[in-house]
Amino acid sequence: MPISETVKNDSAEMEISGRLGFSDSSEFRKRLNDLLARNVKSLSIDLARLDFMDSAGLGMLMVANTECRSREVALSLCNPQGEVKLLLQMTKSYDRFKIIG
Amino acid sequence: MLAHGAGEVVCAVNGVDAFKKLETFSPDLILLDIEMPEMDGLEFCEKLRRVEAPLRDVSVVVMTGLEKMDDRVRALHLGISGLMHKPIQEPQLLQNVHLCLQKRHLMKKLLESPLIQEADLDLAKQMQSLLLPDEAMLQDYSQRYHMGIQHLYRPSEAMGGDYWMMQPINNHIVAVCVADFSGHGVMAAINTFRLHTFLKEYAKYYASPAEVLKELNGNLHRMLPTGEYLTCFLGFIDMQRNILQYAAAAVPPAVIVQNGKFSILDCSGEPLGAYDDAVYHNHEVPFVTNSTLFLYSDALVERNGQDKILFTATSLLEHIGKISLNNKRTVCDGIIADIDQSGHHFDDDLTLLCLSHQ
Repeated sequence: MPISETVKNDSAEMEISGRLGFSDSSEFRKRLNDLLARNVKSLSIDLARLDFMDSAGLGMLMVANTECRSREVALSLCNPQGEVKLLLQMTKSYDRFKIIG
Repeated sequence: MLAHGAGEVVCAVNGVDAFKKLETFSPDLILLDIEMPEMDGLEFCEKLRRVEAPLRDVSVVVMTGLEKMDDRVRALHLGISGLMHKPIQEPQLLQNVHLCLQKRHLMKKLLESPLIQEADLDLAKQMQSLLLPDEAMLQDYSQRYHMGIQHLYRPSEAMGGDYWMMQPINNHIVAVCVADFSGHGVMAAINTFRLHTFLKEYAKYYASPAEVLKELNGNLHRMLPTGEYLTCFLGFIDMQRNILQYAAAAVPPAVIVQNGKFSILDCSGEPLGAYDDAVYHNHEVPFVTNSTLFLYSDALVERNGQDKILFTATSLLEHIGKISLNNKRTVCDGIIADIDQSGHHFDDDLTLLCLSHQ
């Protein structure tokens, strides 16, 4: 799960590629907490290069959603593809997350 | 007598005094007389189990002259480690104390060691296999409801949380459920037990699957940590009206096949336990003679990071259609044969369930 981040002023961008699964939980949480600790106002997570996400991966995004909401950070998920997009549709995540592209 | 073999010993005259002493002394073992003034032994136990760990988990051996079964049962329910009858003999006392302390020591070591993960896994697998419907029960349902029932369950190495069951609602309606907890290990297995109990005992009191899912969602939302959830298909099959009524939460699309034609059932929905205000809807589709309902866990269509997949959601449907047209074997047999022939390795639990209206 390569994750890269950039922070410009008070917006953060995270890109996740490859797979997001159970073994990535602590790494993802750490990266998320680091970003939120920088008091950003918005976080956009680019999923264009994410090939696969399992239930643990979606769970991590749910946690991110909750954390961001409680800190009034605007979270958006961008460009989900293929199986990742299917999973988001199947779980009706379009009603709970802001998803762009 | 005890001080010679057992290390430090502290005495208390009754339950109240004992709690005072426990403020400064952390024992591994408490020897407890049931008949004590001011706070008897059982009351002491009840209070003890409500305090914080580690004091809560101290081993307790109860000494009693009581012959009443009720008190002994009550003592057992309080999680005592042993029971000794008065009059107490010295060798018996020493042996009991020694065994108790040894067991406690081993448990401590086990809990601290990395091997607990393996123990966890094994236990979880055993628990899971206890829940699967047995053949005798399925044959009974098959006869009662004039339904063909075929199933396949292949657990993965990692203990993935798949579960399925059938439960009579009344003489002509039977419920079917296929579900998957997103978490792993013993907690997921325990939650599966809870789910099983709920469906077995209470599903029949709800008017429709959507209402069952709504109730489940509320329960699970309270129980599961953020980010964990249950995906689920719950159907009430009415063999008199020839209708399948179902509600679903985020499972791959189920299929009804008849003479090579298939209809895809929309099984999207918010995963159970994720959002406390999630809403579930009932869908109704015909389930007439010679139809087959095909349910499966997402392992069947998930790529899971591998380069090769066996089926995509679309190719699976086409394949099911072809097998059904062929008529030489059932849909379930056909899919299983293809899986075995391909030699494909599944990372997650695999569940298949085919119900045919005969």
